[in-house]
Amino acid sequence: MISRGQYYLLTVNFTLGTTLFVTINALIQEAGTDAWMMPLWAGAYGMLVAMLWMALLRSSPGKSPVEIARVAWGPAGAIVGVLYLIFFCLTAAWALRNLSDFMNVTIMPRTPPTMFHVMFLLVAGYAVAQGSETVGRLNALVTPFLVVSFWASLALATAEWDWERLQPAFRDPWAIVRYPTLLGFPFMETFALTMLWPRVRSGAAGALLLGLASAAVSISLMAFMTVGLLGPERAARINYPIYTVVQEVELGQVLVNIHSVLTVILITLIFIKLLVLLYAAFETIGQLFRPSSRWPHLLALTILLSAGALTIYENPIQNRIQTSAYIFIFDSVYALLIPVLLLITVQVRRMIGGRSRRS
Amino acid sequence: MSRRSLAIAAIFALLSSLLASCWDKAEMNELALVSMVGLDRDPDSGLYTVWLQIINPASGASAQKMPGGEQAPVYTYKVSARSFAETQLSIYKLMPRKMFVHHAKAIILSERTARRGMRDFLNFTELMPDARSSVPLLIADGPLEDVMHTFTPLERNPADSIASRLQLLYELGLMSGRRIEIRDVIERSAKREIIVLPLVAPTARQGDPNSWQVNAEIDASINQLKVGGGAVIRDYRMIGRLSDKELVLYNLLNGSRGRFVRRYPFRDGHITVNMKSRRVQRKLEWRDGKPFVRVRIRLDISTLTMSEFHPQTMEEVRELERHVSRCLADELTAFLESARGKGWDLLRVRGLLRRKAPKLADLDKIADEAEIGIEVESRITGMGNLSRLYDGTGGER
Repeated sequence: MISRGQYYLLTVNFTLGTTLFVTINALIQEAGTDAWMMPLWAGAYGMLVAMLWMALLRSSPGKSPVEIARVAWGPAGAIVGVLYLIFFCLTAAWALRNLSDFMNVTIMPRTPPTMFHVMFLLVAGYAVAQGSETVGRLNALVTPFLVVSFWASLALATAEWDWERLQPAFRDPWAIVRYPTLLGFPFMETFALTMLWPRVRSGAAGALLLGLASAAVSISLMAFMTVGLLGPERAARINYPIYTVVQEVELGQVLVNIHSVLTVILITLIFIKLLVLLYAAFETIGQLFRPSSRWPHLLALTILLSAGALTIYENPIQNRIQTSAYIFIFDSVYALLIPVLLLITVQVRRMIGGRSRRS
Repeated sequence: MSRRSLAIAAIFALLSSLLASCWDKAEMNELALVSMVGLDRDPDSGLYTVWLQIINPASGASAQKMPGGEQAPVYTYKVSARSFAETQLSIYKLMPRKMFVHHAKAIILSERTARRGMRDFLNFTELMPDARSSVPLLIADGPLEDVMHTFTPLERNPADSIASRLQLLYELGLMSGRRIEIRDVIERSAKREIIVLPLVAPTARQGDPNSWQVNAEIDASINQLKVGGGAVIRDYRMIGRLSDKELVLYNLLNGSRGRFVRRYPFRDGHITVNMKSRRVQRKLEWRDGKPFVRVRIRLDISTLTMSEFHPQTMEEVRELERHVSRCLADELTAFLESARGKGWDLLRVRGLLRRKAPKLADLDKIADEAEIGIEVESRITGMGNLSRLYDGTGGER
């Protein structure tokens, strides 16, 4: 069992995960100086969707969505479980590839990407095999280090701040309509966290909602700062604007190389995201197939995910195109369509059941 | 002490003479560590000249800090004689320590020696049990005497400097190969296949380039050694040269895996592509009784160096991939054509035939007739730190 606080931190870090790498640049390209407003709308939407999940989870206390699907739909529910397994695996593979891309572009261009994938998977697999408590505690342990050093290095960068870069303001507040991807990634992806829901002691709902809200505000603040520090022209073109912001920090003549600190923070955040997704996939396997052993299927997942990470897209250009074309629809199926259908089934069954009991 | 223990002590003392190292002992302080060897044979007089660069044991970082501590990192000894064996002996007229060649990092032959043939030298080294054949062999492009009398800045030992540059040129530019060692020359020449060795040339000289001068000079391109280009060797003889550009193509065709950069015309301008070879396959097929060598090259390309154009859609990605593949394939075909015109089998078709069709009677003739088909498949996989380029009018085009 994990505590409310741990669940909150997991939600925040999961949502920030790859988002800080991949989306900031796309947001600014889409909305320019008003990019910071998009995450707020997307976060509000994410909280709405999360309320839907809560309604579903509360209808069958102590059960994960995969178990609910099995109870509600029988054998067809098992198929839904397999679909969720694929969803978690694809998202995890995608996060891994984002990570190796980042490492290859920024500081380690010659390391084979598979090296990053396998090392991350082995460590994450070990943590997941130890259970939800380990996942929750590990994240709670690293978060203070991440938060302090992340905002400290950004605070150092604010020497270059220029308000002119943020003007004209409030010109394009509804840019989110043109870029619905942000609703799917990262906010609908947080569906993976519902697999942890039955393990949270109490007050999971508040933790999840607050986590989503905090993450949305953080992303918004990041977009705001990136524009204020780099200007919309550069920030929209540079692949990893946050990294560049910190790379350009010069503190007197002494501190000129603090970007490796940021790299560590970013890869730890991605690691948390991977950890939750791997946990979700692991739990799904456990609930669907009830294996008698605890860990061998984690090795299988490692092999599957490291291969998936290499093939999920050919190059970052394709990643961009795929992300903006399909992510929203893809995530909607898993985080919106299936939960709604499940909820309807559960309610209808309850109504029929109640009526038959009454008669 | 009793008589008995005395006797035992005497027996042990006598037995110690049986310990092998009494005869073959080698003390570090009594060895001259050879780091680079230069070799030349005067075709008129038939006189062999050998230069040996010996590491100066007193030239470490600590020695430099002492007053007057600037010492040469290496000393070059030069001897001439009628045979290699005699040069090995007459070196001791000059050198006070026992020669230790196992440590050598580079062997350099003068061009005229390489052109007349290096077989005798290779036989001599292979005969010597203490000589290592896994040492890069280079050809001097210019007077060998100058090459052996040149210090290198930054990496003070010239042999280390050359070895390190060969490695960097290989990894970052494919301008050097993996097969450049003495053993490779022997293996390839014995099979009558071609091998390409790196060239090393002294750069422009100015003043008195002693060690102190080299370290004090800001212009690192003078009084230096320069590695670049390739010497084509067949049958222990140098028969021609490759330019840096051709060297990259040669190394690519022969399966070297490394990064390199190419610039090709694209749309109404040019594009500079960073490539990394993934896999090179050579397959022998038969078409109407004639051999057909199919070369398949798989490349990963990156947008890292494309400062001229950045694809945005998958159509543009595919267009670029196809274009780069075609340009490289054309370039490789033209390169092989021109090499075959000179009679150089740079793709080593002969070796392929010998392995795959060992019963063929007239190997050389059939190898010359073989058709070559080059297929390049490139994929954009990597990227630089921009997702779109800055546009504006202040540039080329």
